[in-house]
Amino acid sequence: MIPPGWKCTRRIGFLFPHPCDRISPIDCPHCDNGRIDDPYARRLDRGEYNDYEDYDDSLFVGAVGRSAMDFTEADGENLVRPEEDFEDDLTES
Amino acid sequence: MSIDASQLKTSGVYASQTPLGTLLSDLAEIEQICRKWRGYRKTVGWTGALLLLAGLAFLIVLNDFPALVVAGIACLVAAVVCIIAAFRFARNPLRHTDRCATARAIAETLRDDTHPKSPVTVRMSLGDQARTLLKQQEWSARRKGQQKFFADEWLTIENAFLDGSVMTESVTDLVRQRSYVNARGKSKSKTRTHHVVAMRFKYPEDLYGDPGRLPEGARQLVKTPSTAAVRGVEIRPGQLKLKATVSSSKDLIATSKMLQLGVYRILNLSRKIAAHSRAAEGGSR
Repeated sequence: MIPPGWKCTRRIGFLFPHPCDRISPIDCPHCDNGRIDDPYARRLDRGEYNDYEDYDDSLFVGAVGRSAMDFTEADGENLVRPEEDFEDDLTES
Repeated sequence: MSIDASQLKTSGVYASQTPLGTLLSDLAEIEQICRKWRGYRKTVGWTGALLLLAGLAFLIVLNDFPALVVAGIACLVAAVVCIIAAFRFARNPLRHTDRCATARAIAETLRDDTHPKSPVTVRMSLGDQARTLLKQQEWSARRKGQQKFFADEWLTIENAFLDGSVMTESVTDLVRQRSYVNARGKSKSKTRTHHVVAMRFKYPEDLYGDPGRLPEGARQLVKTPSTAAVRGVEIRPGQLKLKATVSSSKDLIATSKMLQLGVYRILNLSRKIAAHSRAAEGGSR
């Protein structure tokens, strides 16, 4: 039973992480009914990018605490700008 | 949106500004229309071939009967009409029907990171209308050798992603056409096509910081299939451009997908570092 007002906290996306806007994990194509904790990181269709989220340490010049820089759910939410919502009727100017 | 088949047949161009779901169904519909046209053209062509055989049979084998000679001539005329009609029918859009499947596959990769109602702008040419002659010169390696180079930008896609970035992608065919006369005196021609995939991303600087300040090694994060090569990555504040050449058509879709992923590997890294810097600045206050 999904409680009212339930919000998915998982990260989804192919190119970059963003929050899932589904109101239920049932039949979700991303998390497979809630079985996948982090659908963004667990994607297997990125071809040769099997290390998509892993970066060589040399790329973090001047940065400390690499683990602190991993994406979090909050990061995913911040990526989607609420003010950029789209109108329902595209014919309107 | 339903496709105007007659307009497509004449111009060979599809242009739209529509949400991704509609775009994908439009492209699937074009593929279906092209399959029908191809089937029709094949039927007319085969009819022409059969009429040609029948006409020749009437004229050669049964030429003792004047009525059959007339029928034979009529068959030959009808055969010529059918063969010309089959050759000319929907010539422009059927020249490069594989482009439609390529465009659809490229658009598919945008699905998971694009708002379903966000309009995607697409222009796709199935014919050679956009082809421009770049250079024409003698090819001294062969007798009466000539070579021409053409560029044909047949696909442009512009899309706004959920993160506020706007991507413009174009696919251009670079065609080299060589003609010469061989040792037996026959005219020959050979065509080789390479593709150029160019992408421009306008990204929100407040989210992604300045990827230009990343170490040089960050540019190596972009991978390509073995038949493709990255020709340039240009990073400016708020904008990232890259270009790759692809020598095998079968790797065109994979190249586009890998370039998009590569760009976002750079942007995601830059964003991690920018977020970390912001957190560090906040902590030091």
